Amino acid sequence: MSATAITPGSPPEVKHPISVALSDIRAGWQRRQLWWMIAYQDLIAQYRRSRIGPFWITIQMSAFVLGISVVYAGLFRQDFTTFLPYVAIGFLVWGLISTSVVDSTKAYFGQAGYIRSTSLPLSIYSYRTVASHVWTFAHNVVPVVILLVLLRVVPSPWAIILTPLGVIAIVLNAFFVCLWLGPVCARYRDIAPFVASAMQLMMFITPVFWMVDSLPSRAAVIWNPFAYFLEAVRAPLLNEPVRPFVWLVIISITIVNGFVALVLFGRNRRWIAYWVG
Amino acid sequence: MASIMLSDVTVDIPIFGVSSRNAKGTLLRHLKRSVDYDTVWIRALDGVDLTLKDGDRIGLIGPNGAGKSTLLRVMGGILTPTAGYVQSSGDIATMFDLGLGMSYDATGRENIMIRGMLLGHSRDEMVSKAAEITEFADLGDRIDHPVRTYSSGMVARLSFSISTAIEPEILLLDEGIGTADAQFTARAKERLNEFMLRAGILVLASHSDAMLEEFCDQALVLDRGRVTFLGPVGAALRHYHASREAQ
Repeated sequence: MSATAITPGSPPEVKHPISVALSDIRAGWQRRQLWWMIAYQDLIAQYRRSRIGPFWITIQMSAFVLGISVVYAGLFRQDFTTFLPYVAIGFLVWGLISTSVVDSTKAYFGQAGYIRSTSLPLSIYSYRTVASHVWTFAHNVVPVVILLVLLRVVPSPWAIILTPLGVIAIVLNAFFVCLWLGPVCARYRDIAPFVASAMQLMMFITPVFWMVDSLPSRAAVIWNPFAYFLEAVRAPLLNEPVRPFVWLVIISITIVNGFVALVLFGRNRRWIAYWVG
Repeated sequence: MASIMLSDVTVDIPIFGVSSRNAKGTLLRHLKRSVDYDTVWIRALDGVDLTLKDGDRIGLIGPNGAGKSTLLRVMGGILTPTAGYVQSSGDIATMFDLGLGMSYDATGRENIMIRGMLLGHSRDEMVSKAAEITEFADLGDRIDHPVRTYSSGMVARLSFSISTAIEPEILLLDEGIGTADAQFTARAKERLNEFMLRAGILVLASHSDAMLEEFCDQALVLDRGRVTFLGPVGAALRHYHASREAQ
């Protein structure tokens, strides 16, 4: 907090929503120790409840992946050992995408106690939500890596750059979604359940556990933004080429998403404390 | 130099009904181009002008619902006024809820870090304050145990010690801290005095005449969002009690 001189009688100039949003995001980043610690505490709390902590979710996910792979490899007449890593990575990435979108609806609504009694930058609630997902993701990565090693899957040499970039793109977009969708969900309470059921539907429309070539039409992949993020992370790991078009779409989505986030968060920021109450 | 200036501050709080709380209801209303009868606006503050500078210790007096908490939230930058404006300089600590951020699964020491950072301090600052806080809270080795294993008295002592360990330039307090705690010893009282005296500006909302007289020299009387009196604390209390009896 920097001291600013006060000139009595002169109202402060009205700032543009984008500059309101940017200064809040900057102030939130300066408080990274705080939200990182809160996210870490969430994780530790899971470990205190059970010895393996968030790995329970990982085990659940692994069982699901195994079951789906057995059934779908049979249905689509695919080789099980090539199908299993495809589904495992698909599910790992989808887990990150879907929890990011679904949990963003609770990023502000669930934090009324903090928002109405501290004057912290409001972006910290988005940072904190995203940080929690990164922790969970880090746990879920473990069995997938083991699986890839066991099955001797050889990734493309580009995977070392492209896959982390894909994950970063997802995390960045998750942060933007939190900033614009979070406050809106605090205002309109019927949006959150709608988003949750929409994401459930999207899981089936996105090529998480089916191969794109198995479908006669590519519409579900072309018009589905999530499919691009999934391909950007998964294809290099399975030594498949990533079309430059995929990254073109991801960059475009990120720019639009970021712009929407800055404008909406900047406009709604002053109302958030009213809406969560 | 700490200062807060409120200029013609009005706060209208929306109370949403079922249909205005929902996107579907709001969308339908817009399509029908009808007026929003479902949202009620409550005027919580009405044209408040106030300037506070270093050394000011002001009490907020008024019945429940008069706007004391709203005024504190406006000063703290939590609520943006719907009309008028607020300008402030200096670190502001808002203390409305002592238990805020208290995680019962975390240890006492971890809670010192979280609560301290929520109040605007860095991790390093809180690490250096941890020993003093532990000592005052009289927790000894228990500080490294989860808070859920503490007695309620220990939890109260811990949150009180953490909250009074910081040094804000502007301190906004709702209902005084620790007054609800039965184990309010002379030692705690002394600490609270020092804490309030350290602040450059103190704003205290309270129903306790004794507390207001002890810590404040000025007081502001609020009635349904309007300032009805601003002056020395003794005169303000007399004005408040006279107006209550008149009703």
